[in-house]
Amino acid sequence: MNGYLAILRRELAGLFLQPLAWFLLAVALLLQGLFYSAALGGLFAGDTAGALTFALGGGVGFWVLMAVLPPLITMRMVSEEARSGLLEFLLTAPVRDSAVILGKASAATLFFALVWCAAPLYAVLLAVLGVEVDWGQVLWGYAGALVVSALFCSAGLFASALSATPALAAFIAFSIGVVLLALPSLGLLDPYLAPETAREIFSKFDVLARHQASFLRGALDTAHLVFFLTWIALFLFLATRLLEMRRWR
Amino acid sequence: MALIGRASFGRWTRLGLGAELALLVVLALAAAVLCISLAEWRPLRLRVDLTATSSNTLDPATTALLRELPRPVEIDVFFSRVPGSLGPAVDEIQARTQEVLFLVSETAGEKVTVRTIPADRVELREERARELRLQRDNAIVVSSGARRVVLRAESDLASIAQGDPRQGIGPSVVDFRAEEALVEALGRVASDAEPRVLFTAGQGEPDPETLDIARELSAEGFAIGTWDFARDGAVPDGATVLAVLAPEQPFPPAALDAIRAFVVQGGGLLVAQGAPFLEGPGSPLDLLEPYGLRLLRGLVCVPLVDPRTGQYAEGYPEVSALVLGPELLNGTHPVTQTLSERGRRLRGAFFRALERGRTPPEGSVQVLLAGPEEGWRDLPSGGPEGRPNWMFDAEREERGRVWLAATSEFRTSPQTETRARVVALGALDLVGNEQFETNRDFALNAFNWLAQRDFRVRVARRDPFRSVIDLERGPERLWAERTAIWYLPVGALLGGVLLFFLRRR
Repeated sequence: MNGYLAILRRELAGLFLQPLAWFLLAVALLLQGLFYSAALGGLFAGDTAGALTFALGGGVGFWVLMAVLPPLITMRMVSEEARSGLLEFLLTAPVRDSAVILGKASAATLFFALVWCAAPLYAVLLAVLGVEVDWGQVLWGYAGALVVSALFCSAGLFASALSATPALAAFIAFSIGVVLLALPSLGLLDPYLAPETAREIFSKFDVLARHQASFLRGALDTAHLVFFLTWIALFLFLATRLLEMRRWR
Repeated sequence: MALIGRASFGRWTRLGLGAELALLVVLALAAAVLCISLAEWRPLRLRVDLTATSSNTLDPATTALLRELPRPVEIDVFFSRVPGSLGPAVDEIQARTQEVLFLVSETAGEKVTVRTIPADRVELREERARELRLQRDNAIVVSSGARRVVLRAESDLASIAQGDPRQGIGPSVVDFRAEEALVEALGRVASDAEPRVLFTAGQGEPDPETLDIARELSAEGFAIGTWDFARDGAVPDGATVLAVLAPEQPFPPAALDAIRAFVVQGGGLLVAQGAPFLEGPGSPLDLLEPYGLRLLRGLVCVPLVDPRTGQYAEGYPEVSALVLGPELLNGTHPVTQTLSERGRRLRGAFFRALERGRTPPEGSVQVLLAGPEEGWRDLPSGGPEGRPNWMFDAEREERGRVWLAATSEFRTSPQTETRARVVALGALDLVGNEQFETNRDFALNAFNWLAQRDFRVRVARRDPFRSVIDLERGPERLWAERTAIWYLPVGALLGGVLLFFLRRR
């Protein structure tokens, strides 16, 4: 795609040449490490498969990071550039709006690829020490973490394109994330509380169930994969349209 | 578009842009929902198991049954935590059952609805349990309309080995078989066939409306009725099983002929001996004779152990109350195999013994249930009309294992493949109300076997992938924790610091 790679390179450089990204990465890795160690020594009593699954989405720590980190990474991607005037240059460059959005979303997702690669690294370490690892489950769990990250980054990018300031963008992105994650706890998917039509509609937004139903179990389910890809595409499409609207101002 | 900031064009243009965005969002949402729904449509959906132990894959027999379920089925899960040493084992059974239920609902799609009723929703739980007539907790109920099958966590879904507390070995799950139990239950409740069970009447038998077994059979999809020779004549067409429960008077010869004609046509016959021991034409003894089964005089007794002395005690009617462990059940017969494997016990009193008679041509007679080795057949003292003395008399009686229930199966004629099945029970308690809660599964299995309803599948044992490290010894935990908490985060932090200094330069 015209300009996509250039945007991706620019965004990656923008991310990784800032100490803030490395600091966030260190904090995320530390939290993940603490959750993993606690799960390995406590909840799963030495069961490595359980602890690895816990680190890749089976535990609440993963979802806390997922709700908090993507807004922080994506909040500046459009709104800050618009405020500083950098976006004007980008929009007048011979690059399509979709390439801009896709490049930014890919860069943010690649950052998360680094965050979540800790779990496969734990698995590699265990394998080196002679512990048996179910690689299918670990790698598909990692793929699931990436897909969920891509969804939350897309939502963050949409929020950033929608809002005038990074703080507001972070707030909106965080709210979208919380709503997506809190759906099951709101009783909207409870067969005893919500009417069937409501459940049918709200189940189309149920990120947690789909992630745990296939990726965490080591099962490739095309329906669940399409679910994530669809929502990613939707948020990216809306972000692209919003960017296009900025061009008209 | 206030969020984006002040626009440099007019109000109407801004309004138009806002409306366009709103319309766009709605259309995009609708397209997304449509796309997700399409992807969930079964013909377009693909699920590939990537795990090492195929833990996400049901047995092909299970998958085939689920895909061909003729009617929707509901599964209500009534799990709750069990306190004490059994807790962890029950937790494991519950977690693994939930995994199987998840796979079942994923495979069956809309045909199977799984509802887990949380333990803290007491009112809802009680209401649903009442609707489903569930008496015990920690069970799942498979139902379709009025039909239902109850599967208990600690016996039907798995077996628990008690361990050895003296050696610090706690209870553990030794045989997890939720998939098999679910398939059997689904087959029973969703089957289109409605076998008809007729209880004989007119000879002093109990009214089926008062029998728990009739209610349970009805819940499992059987049609229930009565047959009285004086009223109905021949056994009606469409009857699948004829149940003769504890008749107090002999059948008239014509009724006996009607029953035999029904069996010869491939019907199932269940005969349970009652309190009076009838002999002569038309008695249960006479009824069973042609099928290679012979009822014997006397009541089967076992000596009681006096709790105070630890010595055997005799001379009381209580010696005729038997508790029959899994070792006394036939481990290979379809009626008792699962009960034997699951370590189930049966109870009953006033059992008559059975023995093998002349086996019908091309037939087989098998024991279902045997009496304990230390038991004896207590013969009436003072002639045939006398009463048992509840004591072992070495001169007239002998100790040893006797048959308490048996089956006969034979080809009805050399020209056909039709096989008739007969079950003979030494006591009414095996199907009656007195011990129904204990003997329920045995009774249901017997009727299902007679109706030739066999939904059982053998599922290869699949234990979940577990790779456990020693937390106390060995380097694995130390390295895992060091890498997770120190090496990786510190490495990222050092990268940031290095970058900071490089950029300053």
